[in-house]
Amino acid sequence: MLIILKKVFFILAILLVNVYICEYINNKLTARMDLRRGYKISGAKGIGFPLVRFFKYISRSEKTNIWTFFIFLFSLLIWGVVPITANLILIEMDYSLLVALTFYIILIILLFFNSGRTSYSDAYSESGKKVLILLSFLIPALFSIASIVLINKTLSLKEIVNSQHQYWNIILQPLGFMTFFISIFLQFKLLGIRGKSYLSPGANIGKEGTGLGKIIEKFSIYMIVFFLIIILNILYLGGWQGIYIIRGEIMLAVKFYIIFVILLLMDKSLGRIDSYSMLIRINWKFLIPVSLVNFIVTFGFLIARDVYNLI
Amino acid sequence: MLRLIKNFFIVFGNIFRKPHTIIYPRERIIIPDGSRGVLHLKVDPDSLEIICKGCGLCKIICSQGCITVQKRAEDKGREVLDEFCLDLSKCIFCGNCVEFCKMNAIDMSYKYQLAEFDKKNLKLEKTELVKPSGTIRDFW
Amino acid sequence: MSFLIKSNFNILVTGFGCCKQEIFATQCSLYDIQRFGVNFVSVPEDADILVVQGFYNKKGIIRILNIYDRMKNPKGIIAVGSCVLNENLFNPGSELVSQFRNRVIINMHIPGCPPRPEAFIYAILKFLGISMQ
Repeated sequence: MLIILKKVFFILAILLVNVYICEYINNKLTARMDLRRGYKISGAKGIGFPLVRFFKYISRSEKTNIWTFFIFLFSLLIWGVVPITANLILIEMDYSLLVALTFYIILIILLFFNSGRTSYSDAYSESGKKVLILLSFLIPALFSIASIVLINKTLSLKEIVNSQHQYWNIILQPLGFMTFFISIFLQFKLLGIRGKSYLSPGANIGKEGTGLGKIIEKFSIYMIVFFLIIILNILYLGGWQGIYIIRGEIMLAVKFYIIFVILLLMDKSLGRIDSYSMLIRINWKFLIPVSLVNFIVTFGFLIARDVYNLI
Repeated sequence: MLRLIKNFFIVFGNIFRKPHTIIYPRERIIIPDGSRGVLHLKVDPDSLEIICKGCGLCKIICSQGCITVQKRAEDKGREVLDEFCLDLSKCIFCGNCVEFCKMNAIDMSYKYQLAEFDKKNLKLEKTELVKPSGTIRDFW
Repeated sequence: MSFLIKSNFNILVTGFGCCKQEIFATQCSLYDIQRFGVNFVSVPEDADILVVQGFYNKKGIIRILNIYDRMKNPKGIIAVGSCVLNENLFNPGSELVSQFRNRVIINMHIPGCPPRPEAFIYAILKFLGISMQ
């Protein structure tokens, strides 16, 4: 019991510290990308920015939904299943990949219910469309995941990492990695870490809002992004496998922040999304066919090797 | 797609470039030459008296009606400026008064950083309009 | 509480005047008002300060007052430009503006037609009480 509590404490501490660092990096890098200087008022190059923003949000009361509570719950429940490192996992099971994906889908649907928070009239119809677009990006990701599962022959995330001790899956599945990365980049874009969130209704009010609900929504969006990046790490980049003398945990942190910064840069370079038909076109005409081809090729390869012993 | 890759490298390079930002309290920004700020009453360098005689032409020409001038007759028929009041809340800094002044008694200073808590402080009297004679350009 | 307001500050800009361009120019990389934690928002509930600028008709005054009522305490108003401060070319009769001024208390006046972006930053810093040196 005590061990589990200790693990919970460690996981929470790691998540909170990383949210703080990511919020700071997000603010500072976004400013530097515009050739601005960014927030500096609280001393030491504005290191207290996330804290100040946090207190600013809770200093103003606003009514919160029941959905915000569920969002908070599910954004923490994901980490019970997804292993951050080899030891930091609460429940070890054989189907952790499937459970994690289910939690993720539930979380996104809950975000849709939460969008009624604003006083905007067409809230549900507008954000419902965007949530559907976001969920449709899961289809290419699922195809890529399926081909990974076929190669490693397991549904447990821990087993997938352990099977990559020789070489990472990115070498075996470059096409799958590409589709998965683009799909999580577009999800990242729609979630709106930098600037405004496209899930919220209305043209401009995405980045605004006050009260506890806003904090939880922001936290959950960070959790989703962390989940996506860590899943990418586990599936393709070797997870917590160490290289030579470098420890696995350090490797994981380095990979995590490199991917986060690359996502931020790509987010900035794509600019603002005006037409959602472009996203749908990218998804259905590029990502899904490529990932489907990748899946069929791996499937055919495995059948030819294992069943007919051709290769 | 090609544009996206190009943008990516531009944005990536921007992180290592020097920001354009001017740090407000420390650094200075040079405002353009000939930009118009608050009115300034010229002072004769020899006698240290205000050149303006209070003819009231600027009051007539001002489209906003923000200048109030009063003159006072001294002995020997000499006319002296008695009161010169500029209402900054009305002034649009067009510079008409400077162009039409026959005596060349007023010019535009570079003072433009103006903000007051109280609206009454926006009315500048003669003593305050004479003051910024030392500053040629009001920097940051 | 005062530290929070000083270090993170939301501004809502209303009106149709040309001062709006000069005010929004402070967001850009040359002036960068975000260094002082000042954000521009578009929802009245989130705003601390209402910036009033430009010319108004009868309906416009009512809308501004509605927006001001929806804001939460503590709140304030900054008046920018000579359209709001007094009667102007676009605002010939001053009774509308005086009607507005009788209902609310204007905390800060910035003269100019329009004021330069630096003047706006100067006013914000004066409002927040940040030292100029």
